[in-house]
Amino acid sequence: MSAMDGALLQVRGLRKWFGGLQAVDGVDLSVRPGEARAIIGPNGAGKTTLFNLISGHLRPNAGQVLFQGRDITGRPPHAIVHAGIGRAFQITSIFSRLSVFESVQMALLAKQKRTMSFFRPRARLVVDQTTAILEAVGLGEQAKMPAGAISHGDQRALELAISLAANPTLLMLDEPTAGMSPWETGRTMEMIRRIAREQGITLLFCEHDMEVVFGTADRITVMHQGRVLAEGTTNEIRQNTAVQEVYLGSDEQ
Amino acid sequence: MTPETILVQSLGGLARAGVLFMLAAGLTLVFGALRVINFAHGSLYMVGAFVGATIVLRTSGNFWLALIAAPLVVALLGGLIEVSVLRRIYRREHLIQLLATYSLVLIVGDLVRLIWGAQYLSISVPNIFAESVQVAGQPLPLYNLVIITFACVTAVALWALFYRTGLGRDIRGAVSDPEMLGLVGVNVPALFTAVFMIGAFVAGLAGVIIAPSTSVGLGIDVETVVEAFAVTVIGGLGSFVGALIGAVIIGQVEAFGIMWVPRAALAFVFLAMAIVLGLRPYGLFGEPER
Amino acid sequence: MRTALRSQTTATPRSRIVLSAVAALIALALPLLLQESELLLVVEMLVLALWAVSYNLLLGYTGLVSFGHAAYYGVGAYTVALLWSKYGISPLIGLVASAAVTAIISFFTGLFCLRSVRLYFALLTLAVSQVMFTIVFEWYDFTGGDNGIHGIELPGFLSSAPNLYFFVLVVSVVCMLIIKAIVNSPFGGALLCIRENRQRAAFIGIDVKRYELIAFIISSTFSGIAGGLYAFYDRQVFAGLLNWTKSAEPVLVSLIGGMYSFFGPAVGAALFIFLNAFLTRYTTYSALALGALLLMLALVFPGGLAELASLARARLLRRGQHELETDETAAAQPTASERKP
Repeated sequence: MSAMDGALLQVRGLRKWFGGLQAVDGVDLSVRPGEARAIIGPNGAGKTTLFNLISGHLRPNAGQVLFQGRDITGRPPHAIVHAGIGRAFQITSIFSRLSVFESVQMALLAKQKRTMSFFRPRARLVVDQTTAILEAVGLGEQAKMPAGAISHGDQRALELAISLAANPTLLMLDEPTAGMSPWETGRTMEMIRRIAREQGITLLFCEHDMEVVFGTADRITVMHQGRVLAEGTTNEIRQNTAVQEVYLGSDEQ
Repeated sequence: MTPETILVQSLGGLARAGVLFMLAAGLTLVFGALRVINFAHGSLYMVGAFVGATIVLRTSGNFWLALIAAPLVVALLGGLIEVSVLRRIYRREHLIQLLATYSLVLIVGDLVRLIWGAQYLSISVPNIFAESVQVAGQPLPLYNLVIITFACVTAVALWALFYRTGLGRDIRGAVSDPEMLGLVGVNVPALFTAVFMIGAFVAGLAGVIIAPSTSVGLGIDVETVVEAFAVTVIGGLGSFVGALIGAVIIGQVEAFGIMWVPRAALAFVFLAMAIVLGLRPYGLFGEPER
Repeated sequence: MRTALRSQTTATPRSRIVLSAVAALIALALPLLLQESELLLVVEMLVLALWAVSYNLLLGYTGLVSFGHAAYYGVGAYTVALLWSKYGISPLIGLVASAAVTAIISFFTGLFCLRSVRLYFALLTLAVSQVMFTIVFEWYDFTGGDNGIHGIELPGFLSSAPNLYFFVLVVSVVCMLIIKAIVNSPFGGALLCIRENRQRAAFIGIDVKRYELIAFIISSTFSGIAGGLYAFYDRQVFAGLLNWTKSAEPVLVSLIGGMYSFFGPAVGAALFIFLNAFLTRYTTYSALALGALLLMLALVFPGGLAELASLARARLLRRGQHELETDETAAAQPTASERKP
């Protein structure tokens, strides 16, 4: 780990156990600003738990999470959002009975801490920003639809739009292309890369689709049984024999 | 307060706990398997008490017949309710389910009034239990011990049903993972009807057992279901051990609360519930929502 | 449900202005049209309507089920009654005080109850309200116990039924409009996010517990005002106002009227009061009739009257417009529908 200084996100000795199970067993991780980092590993490697620990959904039993040098270990999710970490979920997690527009609008207002306002009609607030985000993810047409009524692919895009509304410095994506057709996958990843580049967002994502991983990531961290097995550039990981044995050998053909 | 009164009082509390356990066991069983909060559980209990008391009065004192027949009647009523109402709302929101079972409380309450009128029925304790026994020099109605015994028998019978029969295995399956059951070829609708009828049967049984020691009147449905809820929640929804322990706690709280502020016994019940939930938001043996 | 999510991007449609004007005219004319006893029935409806709309801020807009809201209604009523009977303070000031007192009490009870979630929260609110009920019921020296407090004297101008009606009308309508404004505000939007998906709401940066607590306080405060108005209407208070049977009322009327519609609970309240008066006049088995009605509602129209109304409207409009077909199917499900005006 050479890039300790200037790291955007720094995880040190993070541990989480459920009963006797060590889900995350002493993980160190360091993500530089502007990087696109993939976390891969077989099912049960602890990727999702690690994500939940960083985003505040779970509290670690031991270890530290530093973001922009500040200790955010064990802070609640809403505080971590305000610190600048956004998250899109694997299982589409939206506000079904709100319209597509309202969903993004509320995310914007929440991030800007403007939701403690009781008497102003919200309808005319942040309209332009909301529209811009919806346009960016290709949902301009569906703005008035109830979020629960649009197609699965569009819901994934909305999920991303809601996360982007938080104007994150670091965006965490949990299997952004799960359940998508190859065509949708390509389109979605291209969109994510473009938005991240334009807005200077650092990406941290976990993914099963190796094409997506090697096509998007700058660096890859491989997890196995709750620990970091290897870390490096795409090429380094491709040639790493330990990784091939444990991971690529078992999961890929 | 002498040690003797404490002992007698707590035995009285145990008798109350016995009845509450029989109701809470049904509530928690129905919730565990069917995921429905059955407000009408107290109504089933009330019907059991009315039918039981009527049988005793009509047969000039045949308590044993009442003890078998009344719970069966209540079980049939329960089956009818499950098939005609509950079956149609399993997939609905909790609130709609509550609305439906609450409406059953109103309907059953008025039907009971229609059939029996607004008068109280009272039956006497069967002769062989009519004595008082001396406990630490204090008289204690023998019937209290009978109630405790019945509750214990019920607890053991339910345990045997769950852990020693095929039906019980299926019910436990329904409690832990209802979706799996259908996949392995269990007739889930029939199972749910059976579960509800078992709960109704036990509620009816509790109704008959309580009938000789109190006057049977309108209003015991709601009065009792509220307490049974407190028991279930304190123990943790869906947990049998919880229902048992919750019943003992509430029985004691009530028995001693009555001595302290006679008219506010129910407030102590709720206070106990508030304290337990304040300390353990899911009840003593409950699991966080799934 | 429609009102809950229709975004306010469009200007108020003309039909709505016309509707409001008609409603206002009827409201003004009612004292001329109705007998005094009927007018008092309307006052009762307004009180319950305000309570139900306040309650529904929690139920329909935040997704929190409280089974103990009678506690705040009752505290509001007792505040008016006690200030008058103990200290000779005018009920008008008492009404303002009832808001303050319920706000303070609900801050603490809300803080306590919100430690639990969902069903446990609901039963905890019930437990807390029953403890409050018992305190009122047992504290003879202060509250009069189960005798209650009778003969509250209102200021002179409220002694006539029409004046009392106008007073209750103005207070309840103003309160409901305030709640409506809150519902349409960014805060109200945050509540909707919490209702829809608590976890996701936290991940867009909303402090869920804090917002739930504030919603709880607002809802309880307006329930307290409704209770205060009840003391104006009945000129007496009794412990039963805090009891759990009373707590069932706002839940029932919200469900009857439709909890995803803003004024649904108010309509449900009017129907409930009307049915109660009507049924008890013509049958001794009113619970049976009410139960049958509720059961039918639960089985056939879980969305309440609001769903019924939108279904009917969709059917009417479909004759003219082909495109509304999708809207009707959406209205039949508990998912939202968004219609172009």
